Amino acid sequence: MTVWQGTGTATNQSGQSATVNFSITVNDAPIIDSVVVNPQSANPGVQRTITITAHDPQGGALTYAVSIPGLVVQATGQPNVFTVTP
Amino acid sequence: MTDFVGTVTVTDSGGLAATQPVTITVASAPSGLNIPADRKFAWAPGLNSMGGIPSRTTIFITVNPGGNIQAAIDACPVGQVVKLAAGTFTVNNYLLIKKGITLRGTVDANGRPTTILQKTNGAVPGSYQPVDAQPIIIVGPNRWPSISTQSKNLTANAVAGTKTITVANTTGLAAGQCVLLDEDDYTGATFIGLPNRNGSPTTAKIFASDRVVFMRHSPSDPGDDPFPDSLTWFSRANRPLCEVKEIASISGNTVTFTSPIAITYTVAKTAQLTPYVEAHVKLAGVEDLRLTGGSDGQVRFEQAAYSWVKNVDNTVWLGEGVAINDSFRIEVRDSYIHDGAWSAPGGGGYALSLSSGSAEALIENNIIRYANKMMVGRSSGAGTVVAYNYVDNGFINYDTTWQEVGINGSHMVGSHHWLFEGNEAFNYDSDNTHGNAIYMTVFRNNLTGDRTGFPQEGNARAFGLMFGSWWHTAIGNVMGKQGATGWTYVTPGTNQWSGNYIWKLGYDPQHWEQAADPKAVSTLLWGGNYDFVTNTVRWENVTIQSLPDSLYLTSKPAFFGSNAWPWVDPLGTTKLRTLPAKARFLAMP
Repeated sequence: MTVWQGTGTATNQSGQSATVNFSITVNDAPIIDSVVVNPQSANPGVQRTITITAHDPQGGALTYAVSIPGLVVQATGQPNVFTVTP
Repeated sequence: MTDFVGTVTVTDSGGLAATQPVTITVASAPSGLNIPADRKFAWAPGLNSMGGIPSRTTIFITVNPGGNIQAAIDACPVGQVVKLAAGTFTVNNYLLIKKGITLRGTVDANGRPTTILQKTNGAVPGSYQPVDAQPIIIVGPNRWPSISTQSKNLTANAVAGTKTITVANTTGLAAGQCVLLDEDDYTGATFIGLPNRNGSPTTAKIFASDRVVFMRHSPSDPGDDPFPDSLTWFSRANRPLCEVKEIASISGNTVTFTSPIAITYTVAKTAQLTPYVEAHVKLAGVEDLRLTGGSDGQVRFEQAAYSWVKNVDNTVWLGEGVAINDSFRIEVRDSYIHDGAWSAPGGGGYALSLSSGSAEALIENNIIRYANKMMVGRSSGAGTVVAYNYVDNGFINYDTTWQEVGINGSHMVGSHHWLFEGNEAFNYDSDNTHGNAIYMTVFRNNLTGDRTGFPQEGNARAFGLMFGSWWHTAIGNVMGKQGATGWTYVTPGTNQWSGNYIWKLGYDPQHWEQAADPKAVSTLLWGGNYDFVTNTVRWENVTIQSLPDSLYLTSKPAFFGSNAWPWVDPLGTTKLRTLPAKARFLAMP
């Protein structure tokens, strides 16, 4: 999460002014720490397991998805683990 | 080599996403042989489709001699190991493994098992009568699991090479389930003619469908099986042509399997799909043990899948050293199966047995010596690979001069589509004791025609085909023994069978007066084989072609280490190199 601090100032024709402080909070994108394919290289028909490790800078929940054109990616019981059998 | 490139996306609750590429690399499939499609299979046996046997490192408990192994197995979480300390355990009541755990013994510095499981009231060397008939280990839901009576008729032929069938209904079927696919070859079978006997036509006939030959003659023969009893010995009644499949998915009345169908099953023969009552036990392993005394088989897989035996010294059993029944993708590897208790025909002394449709097993890198039959196929084995084993000294204890069948997928009617690759054995044969076996591929083996432990050889042959052994393929083998004398290249096709032959084709050992089975001879594809009689590579009826390294591997397997692979090279200058299993045997103390 990134917070930008700022000050807003309004000034009238008499030179009198009022100020207000404000902040803008930016929701940072999730960070993918690693994507492990096991085994990465193997014979046709060998099931591969794709395990994603990621975190949310804000500490929130994450959802995971894998798309590989030409292959059917299967979900498992764990949200960050997928299988595929080319 | 093919790369599939995709994208991993991770999204937070606010909808912000991060992406990263992901690559899946697929090795090139083995190039295969230039042979008809009905002889091929997409070989992916044992646990090869899962990247091999899982390496489990979490030890749940270590049991010392005298401890309760079964209690430890029952309490062990899936994916963990029950470790057995070195020493001797007495197991007079079989151990039942019914979940995905590993039972692992201890090994010495050379990797040899130092944990012994013995049955003290079971098999005894030289006797076929156990005090108490039980195995030592069963992997399966129970000792005698059963198949459902709720079969589903297929509504269209199940076509070899495809993965999909349609059935009348899918009640009781689910993805991940193992099921049996079969057809009735008995009801529509007829008595067909036999080859000449004593040089003249005979009125004797044998009962056969277009693909299955039953051991039933007209007039009846002393060697005939008892019908109808024998029709249920190792298959559902009348249905010896069969294979266990695993369901990948179901959509409407369409069932998709995880692997191709090996042979076409037809609606005309009432092809059916049948579930089992209990679920198959998956991912259970037996490792690093010495087993002795099992007397209803030593290790039994009964309705198991993706399960294994690894580095097991298996000796003094009655029945089968390893029995694989109603199972799918079982792996037997790196083991030493030897010196059965009773080496005589009748089922008491088989080192390995596949039965009841068991499919896609991998039998790899084992030493198999001194048993009656080295292995048998009993109405089973589709997609099985027997590879890189050292196989020697199959014998009959009351007639040691008879050279038994070596590597094979036969014995009980109906077995089909096995691959034999890279083995050293005294012979390959396909026996007809209880009917025929078909569509076997024999590739890059060393078939010596000679047992090292018996100076006299009756029925010596490097490659035999008994009556009914149809659609065999034998390519790339090295046959006979360098310097051996008194050998002939091939039998003449008549009833002249005496002598030592590299190729003994179409014979019936219960009818030596009978000429060769013309269909066994005409459907044999043979070529690219080197033999030590003609000292040439002969291409009999196969197009001259280069030979792939393997029909199921894409590269040298790890157990070959620094040894050259493939080790059997009939087209090369050096015909034979080192087989690791044999080297392992020769290094034994």
